[in-house]
Amino acid sequence: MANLDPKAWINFEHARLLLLDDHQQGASILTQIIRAFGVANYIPCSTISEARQSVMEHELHLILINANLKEPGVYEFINWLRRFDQPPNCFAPVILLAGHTARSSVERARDSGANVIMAKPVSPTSVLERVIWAAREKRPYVKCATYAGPDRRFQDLGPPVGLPGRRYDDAHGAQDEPDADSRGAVGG
Amino acid sequence: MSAIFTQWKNPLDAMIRAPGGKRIEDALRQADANLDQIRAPCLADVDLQLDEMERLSNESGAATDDEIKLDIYRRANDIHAVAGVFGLADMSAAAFCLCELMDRLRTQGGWSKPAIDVHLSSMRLLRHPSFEDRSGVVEGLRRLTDKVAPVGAAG
Repeated sequence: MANLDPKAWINFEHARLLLLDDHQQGASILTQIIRAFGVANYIPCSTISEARQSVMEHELHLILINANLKEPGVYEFINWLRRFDQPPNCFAPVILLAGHTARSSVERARDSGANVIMAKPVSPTSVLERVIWAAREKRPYVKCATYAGPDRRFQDLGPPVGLPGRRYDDAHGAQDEPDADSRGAVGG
Repeated sequence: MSAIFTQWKNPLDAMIRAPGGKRIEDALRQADANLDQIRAPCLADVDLQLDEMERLSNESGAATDDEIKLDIYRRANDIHAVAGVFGLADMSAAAFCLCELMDRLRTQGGWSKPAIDVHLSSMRLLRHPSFEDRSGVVEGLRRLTDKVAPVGAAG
C-alpha cells in the first residue's frame, strides 16, 4: 500500500462505474474488487456497443476498460467517448487495463485518450491507487484534430532552455492568449 | 483545427472524500476475501485455456495460420491477467512471454511449434506451487523468444 493510508476512508456510495470487459474471469476479478471498495452502482458491458449505449444513457464517474478485448475498436471507443460532446461523460476518467500489448497497438493505446494505462495482472491495492489518482488528477482535457483526452504533458517544465514557449500555458515565454470557451485555444 | 483545452473538475474526487464509506484497510481486506471466493473457477479456466492452447499447437503442425496465432495470443493474455491475481506470478510472466512470442511470430509471419510447446510446458510446471526450481524459467523463455523470433527480423 505504498501510496495509500490504510486508515483513510473512501466512499464510492454515489459513484457510477462502467466496466467494459469481454473476458468473464477478468470482469469477475474487477467486479469483486470494486464491490469490496463499496461500489454498488456499476454497469458491466461485454461489448463496445453496450458500452456506447450506457455512455448515452447514464452519467458515469469512472470507466474501466480491458484493453485486450477480442472485439476490435477499443481505442476508437475511447476516442468516441472523448469527442462525445456531453459532459460529464466525455470527461469521465478512463482506466485502460492492459496485458500484453501488440507492437502494432502500443502507440494507439498511448494516444487513445485514456487517463491511466494500468498493467495487468491487477491487485486490489493497484486498482484503488489508480482509481484515486484518476479521480484527483487535474490535467486539462485537450481536443484537437489528432487527439482528444487528458493533456499528455504530465509536468510543465517549460520550453527548452533559451527558447521562448510556443504554448500560452508554457512556464515561460507565453505568447498566445486563451480564446476558446473554457480554458483556451491554441493554434494547432 | 485549434486545440481546445478544458479544465474539468471531476466529481468522483468529492464523492470518494464524502463522509461515510469504509476504511481503505477494510476495503482491501474485503477485496482479498472476495477474490478468494472466485479463485477456484478462475484457475479452472486457466487450466482450460492451457489445454486449449496445447490442442491448437498440436493440431496446427507446421501451419502458420494467423487465426491460430491470434487465438493462442489471446488465451495466453487471459492467463497472464488471471494467474497473477491468484499468486501465480511466474506463470503469469511465462504467459506474457508466450504473448510476446506469438506477437513476434504474427508480425514476422513465422511459426515455431517447439518454442510454443516449451512455453506451454513451462506454464504447466509453474501452475503448481510445489514446483520449486522456478528461478530462471521465465528468463529462459525470454531468451528462447529472442532466439526464435528476434525483434526486427524480416517477415
